[in-house]
Amino acid sequence: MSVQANASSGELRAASLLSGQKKVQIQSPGRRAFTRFLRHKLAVGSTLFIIVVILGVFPLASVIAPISPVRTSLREVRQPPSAAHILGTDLIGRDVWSRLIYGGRVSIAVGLAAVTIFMSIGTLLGSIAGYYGGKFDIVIMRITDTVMAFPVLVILISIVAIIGPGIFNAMMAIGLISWTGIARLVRGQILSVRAMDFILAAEAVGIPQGRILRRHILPSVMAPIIVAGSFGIAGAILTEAGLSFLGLGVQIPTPSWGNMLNEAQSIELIESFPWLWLPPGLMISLCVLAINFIGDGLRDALDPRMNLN
Amino acid sequence: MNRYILRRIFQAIPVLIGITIITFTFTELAPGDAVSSMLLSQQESGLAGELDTATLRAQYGLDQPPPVRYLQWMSGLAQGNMGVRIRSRVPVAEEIGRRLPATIQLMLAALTISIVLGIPFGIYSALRQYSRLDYFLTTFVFIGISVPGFFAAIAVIYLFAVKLGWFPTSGYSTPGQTFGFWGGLWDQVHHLALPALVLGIESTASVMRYTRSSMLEVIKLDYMVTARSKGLGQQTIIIRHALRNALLPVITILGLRLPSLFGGAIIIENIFNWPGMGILYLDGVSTRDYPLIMGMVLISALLIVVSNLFTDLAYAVVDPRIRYE
Repeated sequence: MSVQANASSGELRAASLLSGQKKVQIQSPGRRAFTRFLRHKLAVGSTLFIIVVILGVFPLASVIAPISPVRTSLREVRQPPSAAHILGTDLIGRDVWSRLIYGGRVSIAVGLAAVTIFMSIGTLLGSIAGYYGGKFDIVIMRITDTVMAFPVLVILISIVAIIGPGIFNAMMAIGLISWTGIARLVRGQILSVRAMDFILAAEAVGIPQGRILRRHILPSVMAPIIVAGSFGIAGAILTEAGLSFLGLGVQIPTPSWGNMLNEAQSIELIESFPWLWLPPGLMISLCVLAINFIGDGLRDALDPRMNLN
Repeated sequence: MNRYILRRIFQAIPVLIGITIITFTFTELAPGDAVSSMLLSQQESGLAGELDTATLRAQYGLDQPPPVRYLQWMSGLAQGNMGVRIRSRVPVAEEIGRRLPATIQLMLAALTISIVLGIPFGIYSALRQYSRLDYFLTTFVFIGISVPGFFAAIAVIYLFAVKLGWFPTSGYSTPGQTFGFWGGLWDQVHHLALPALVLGIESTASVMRYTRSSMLEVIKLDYMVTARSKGLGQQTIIIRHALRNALLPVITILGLRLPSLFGGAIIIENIFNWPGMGILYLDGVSTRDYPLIMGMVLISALLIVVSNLFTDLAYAVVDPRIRYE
């Protein structure tokens, strides 16, 4: 008797008992999601790429980029790629490869920090609005609508105009603005789960509301939140790059992929020194692309409605 | 239908009020106020003392508590007064009004490109799923949402303007030349092409993606089977039955794209030297011209709310079910 690959564990147990099999292969939802994820070649390849990037940028940075990223050398300005400088030098003689690596550190760190901030805010507000409903819901949703009315970059730039530029300020500003989409998503998910019977049963048994929210509702809505989070990292990296490009995020001499592109603003620079702007631009694009592929793969892997075999 | 319109407008009012409150709070948080900027040079040289500053403050009503100043500011807004720029004393409303058309032009062009390219390609992708073009288009979608706007702009300038010379590298029109009507129009379009194209990439990718998935869903529905068994031609089915219903979420998506189009316009205008609100805004930020900054923030948010209203109305026109909710 054949057993379907995605049957529930209970069905598997029953089927194996009936057919006299001794060993039972039970797959937890996590393991099943993992297996489904592995089927997406692009997602897996992207994960490997991101791991390589993170390894190169964080622990191995001093190994693969021995030259200091802020060391200027006016004798060596504007040099094309060579043996001494893998990606050449910039307008005041700094090594572009080093700036690429250390800039990656900054860009990714800001992206991760900002995502943590806005995921926390968004999940908290969305949960309160979705679960407690009533006045909380109306007030929080009105606030969300109001904040969503401002274009992200516009309000981000004005925040930076007030509190000043810099890495930390950029992290905080991005984190404090981008939570609206997550809040709406979480609220929607909780609203749809809240009406389900098992929640009703939990409430009837007398489990306190906070506990229901944490241990019964949230696990069911985790999947879209995780997917949104991964797309959120991509968005945060892009936003930080945009801010730094405009000179309002990470400040020189600290490198960031965004402010490296800032230097390529005149036509002469664009044409004559492509090694200044191509590497950081490509790195941003490739990393964000990889994260988007991973997010897509996660979405397919975690969605329980998909029936692959 | 009218009730729906009124209801939507009513719902927008608290959002509008919230926008003014947030903008006003930002104005409060910004260091310095109108008087301190007015007296900046005198204060620095020691000519203006404490008493002068205090008197001027009282005269302008700046020593009142925040709620009173908020109402004063709101009444000024109702008359179209958004303050003056710090150094040049030009009214903010006038400055923004001068630059607004260029930015609207850019945003509309990008939106048009995303509709004209995104919807047909999205339909094609859905109908010929897994074909070579579908894979190519899906790849384009991913690249489109991953590449940052400023990088795409620089790369596009490098390729099309510098290397190939097909388009000008920046600016609104060719300086120092006068054109006839058609010549001027062509010159304008020629300059608009690259910035609008780059600004439109991300929106095109979004529209393409959502058109494709929406069409895929609609094709499977029961009424499509009915249409086919009625013997209707393929094109009639696609356009009259599938497309109309598939476009509904796409309208919502287009509405949601507007804030990011505005933000993207800031960056694109910077790179292409397009004389719109974006460059004005960045100029204001670099000189810490807070009246200008706040005016821009307010205007952009208002624009978004108004266009969201139009999007909802368009949705109600296209989908009769919405009107009766």
